[in-house]
Amino acid sequence: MSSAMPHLLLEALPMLLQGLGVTLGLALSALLGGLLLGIPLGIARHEGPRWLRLPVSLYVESIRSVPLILFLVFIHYGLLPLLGYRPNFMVSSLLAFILFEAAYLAEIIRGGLRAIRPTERDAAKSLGLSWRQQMQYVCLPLAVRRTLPTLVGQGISLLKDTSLASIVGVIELTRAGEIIYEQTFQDFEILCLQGLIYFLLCYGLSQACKRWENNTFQQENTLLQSSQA
Amino acid sequence: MESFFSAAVQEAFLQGLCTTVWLSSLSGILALLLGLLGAFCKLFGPKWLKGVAGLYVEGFRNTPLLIQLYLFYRGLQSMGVTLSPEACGVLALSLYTGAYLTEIFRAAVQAIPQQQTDAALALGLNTLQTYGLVLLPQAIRWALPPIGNQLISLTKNSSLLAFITVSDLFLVIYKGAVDEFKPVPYFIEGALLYMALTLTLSTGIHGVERWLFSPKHPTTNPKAARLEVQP
Repeated sequence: MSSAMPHLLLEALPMLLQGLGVTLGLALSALLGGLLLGIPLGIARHEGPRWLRLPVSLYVESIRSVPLILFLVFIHYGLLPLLGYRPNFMVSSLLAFILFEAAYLAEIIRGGLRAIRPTERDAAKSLGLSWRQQMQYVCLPLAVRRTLPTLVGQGISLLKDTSLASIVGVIELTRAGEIIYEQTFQDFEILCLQGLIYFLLCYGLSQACKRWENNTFQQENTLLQSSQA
Repeated sequence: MESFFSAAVQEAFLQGLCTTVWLSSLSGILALLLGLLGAFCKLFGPKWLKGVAGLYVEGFRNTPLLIQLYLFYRGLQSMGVTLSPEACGVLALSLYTGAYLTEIFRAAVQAIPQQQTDAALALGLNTLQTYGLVLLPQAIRWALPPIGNQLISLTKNSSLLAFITVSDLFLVIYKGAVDEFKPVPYFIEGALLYMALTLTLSTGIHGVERWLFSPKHPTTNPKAARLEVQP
């Protein structure tokens, strides 16, 4: 290891952090887009009419059974050019991540909806809520709350998966490091630094979410106990 | 039936598929062993071993597989250690999946109620019998669906090995699609092959699940279980 190493890492840091910004932006917008698309898909697959359930199931199952990278490259080199677009790297990877996440999130939401007890649904119905109100005020909040750990896990997976965008040329954290070590040949050091940044981000996020969940649930449990007493 | 692809391309697809299947199975077996070892360390190890296992699990679960692959391949190369790309791929893939499996195995054993252990000990079973005959058979049933999911993920993740120059199924697809400018047929063929792989795996796992829950299996049939314990 050369004596210039700390110097090099210090020099690499601004570019890596810039990449980190892109990574975070990509993950966050893909998560939002995925939720916006995934929640309706999940509801449709859970209690939609048959003609709707079938294509949604087909979509969800086929996306879930191919590797993300295949889907990403397909969108970038296959689908978008076929539709007549000349895709920008960012647009195609964002689109791919949203479509891909939507399938996974739809499945999680569907699991949450299936876990809703018939009595809870009956209570909502007997209050005279319309179907939309039942979904909006009773079913979805319960489903989201009960699947929260899984949703958080999916979000963290997504954060890690955005490293694949480097392959279609988005300069996010992984690609930024690649550019640096292609010039400096300090592969090992830069890769370790990148790994550390990903680790701090993902681990910190998962711990924070766990803590927040525990606090929320603890409050609710004490409320429940006091109301029963 | 007339095929779209020439014989040479079909041959390449077949070879890629074989590589993917072979490397995924090898990594799958290694990952299962690693997972068992990790869970064992986390459950029964002394404090420092628990710490090491915890560090391993969190480290590998919270970094992207792509970074791990690059680290094992390019990173080690730049440090003067050269492994074949296949070896690096299998190493990274099994360590990554092993970290997830460690947590699954650990959670499965811990999910069994304490009363089961108490009952087994009260019957006069020793520790080995308690684990072998009472706790592990129950744990494996609980853990099987998530293990299956991990093995399916592993098969899909093996596509990333293409980026450390392993000529697996994905590299065949990628080269054909990008270099030969024929993306759509290659992608469709590739997607179908990956779907076939994951479908085969999930069907197999369903089969094992059904067998574990079938009346013939000792954990669902008390009479069979008693017969096994008595000698």
